[in-house]
Amino acid sequence: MEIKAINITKKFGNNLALDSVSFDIKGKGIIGYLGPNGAGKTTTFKIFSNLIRASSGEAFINGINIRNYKMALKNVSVLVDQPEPYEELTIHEFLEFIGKIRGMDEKMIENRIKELGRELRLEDFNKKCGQLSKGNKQRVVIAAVLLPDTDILLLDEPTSGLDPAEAYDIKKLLKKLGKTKLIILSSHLLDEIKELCDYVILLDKGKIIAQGSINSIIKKFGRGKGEKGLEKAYINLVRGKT
Amino acid sequence: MKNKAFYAFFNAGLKMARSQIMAFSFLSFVLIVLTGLLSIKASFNSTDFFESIGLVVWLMIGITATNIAAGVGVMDFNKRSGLLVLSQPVDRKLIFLSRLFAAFLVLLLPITVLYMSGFGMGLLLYKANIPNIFLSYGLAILYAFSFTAMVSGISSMSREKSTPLSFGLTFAFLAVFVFAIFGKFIGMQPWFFLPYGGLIISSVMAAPYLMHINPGNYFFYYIPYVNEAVLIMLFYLVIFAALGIFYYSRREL
Repeated sequence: MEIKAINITKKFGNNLALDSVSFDIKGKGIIGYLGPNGAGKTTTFKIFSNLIRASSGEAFINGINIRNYKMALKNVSVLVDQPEPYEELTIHEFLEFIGKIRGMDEKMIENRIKELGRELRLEDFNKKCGQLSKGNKQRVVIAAVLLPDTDILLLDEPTSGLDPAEAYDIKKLLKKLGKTKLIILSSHLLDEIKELCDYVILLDKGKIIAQGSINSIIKKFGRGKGEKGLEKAYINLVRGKT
Repeated sequence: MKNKAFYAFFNAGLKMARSQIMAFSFLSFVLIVLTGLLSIKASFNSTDFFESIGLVVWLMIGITATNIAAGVGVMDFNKRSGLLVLSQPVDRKLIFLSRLFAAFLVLLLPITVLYMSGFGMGLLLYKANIPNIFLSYGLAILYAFSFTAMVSGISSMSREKSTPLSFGLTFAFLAVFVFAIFGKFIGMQPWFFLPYGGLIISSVMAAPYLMHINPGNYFFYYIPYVNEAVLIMLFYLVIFAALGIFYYSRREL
């Protein structure tokens, strides 16, 4: 399991969203991808999911260039920028649709829907997605992302829009999945990152400004007045007080 | 996996169009019945009645195809569903084509309702069958496919669904004015205009009375020959389907 970025740059007109971003993440576990709004987190995820193309540089998933997205995305599931299910389809129809476009057989799809329904507390599979609350839509989307049971997950703020109890269920599930899969988790919630991740990549204004284990980041950048910790390190890094 | 993905998108396309297509099928039936009632009121003969039915079919195809196809190319780009659907390992060309074929298939229902109702009303009111019914039905299907491809192609280049929707409806409703301007005033066949090709649906139903040139007719001064009409429709079908695939495959989200 490997996600690799080599000098990825992305421009939107004159705006430089990503500036020569490089990283190489191997193995299993949960990696935090942190940064303030507009830092380039979602742009990175969108490049790795073929929703946009890099202006320059290369992105690889398990050694396959994302330009060959049909092969590269086979073992990856992506949750990026708060997607929504098709409003006209029922929860079951939508999950079945995702399973089928992934090439899963009927039996496997049904088993996974049952399994995820239990883990994510999904109810009333015959309800149309358009009638669901924001939190329920988010849980259906997470179920759709987890349905193909891929080895690599790119999750952009997966607990956004969920109440504390729903967020707890997702974090519990992520902890379990992180033991066998590679998860890149983007979040604004530093407590969530601290709880789930061992390693973080910190991004600001399209550039990687720090990366390492949480402890090493705290040790190196968490100094200053007041409480030490990841929050202090984060503020010091994004405000340039390092 | 390719086939499975194609059918998954195709089936989802059918499911999402369910309520729309039932509404248009019902509306088609109502319009044909109303045309029949108006024909009695206006003391139409059977030729006038079948020509009117043909024009209702022609107009309804434009309206229905526009509504069904307006979302084909844009639905994943202007809604948040695309963030999930387009990040799957599926060829984008295949997604566009499966949606286009689903739109083709759902259009067959209202078209069939139009012809069955027209056939029934013809028998009931004039004890006559629709002239050249199978030829007209085939041409109506080709016209529906071309109109769908055109609106889908425009949809794949648009930011919002409203753009292909307004484009298609303008094409459908203002067609007769284009015919009048080019036919009556400029003296030129509007062969570049898809609805002109679609006029053949009505003219074969009114055969043999409608001519290629009808000097007394303000709006339908020129009527295409069957081979001309087929060429116009095929041209639109191929060009816009290709444009749709091209733009859909390259768009960023």
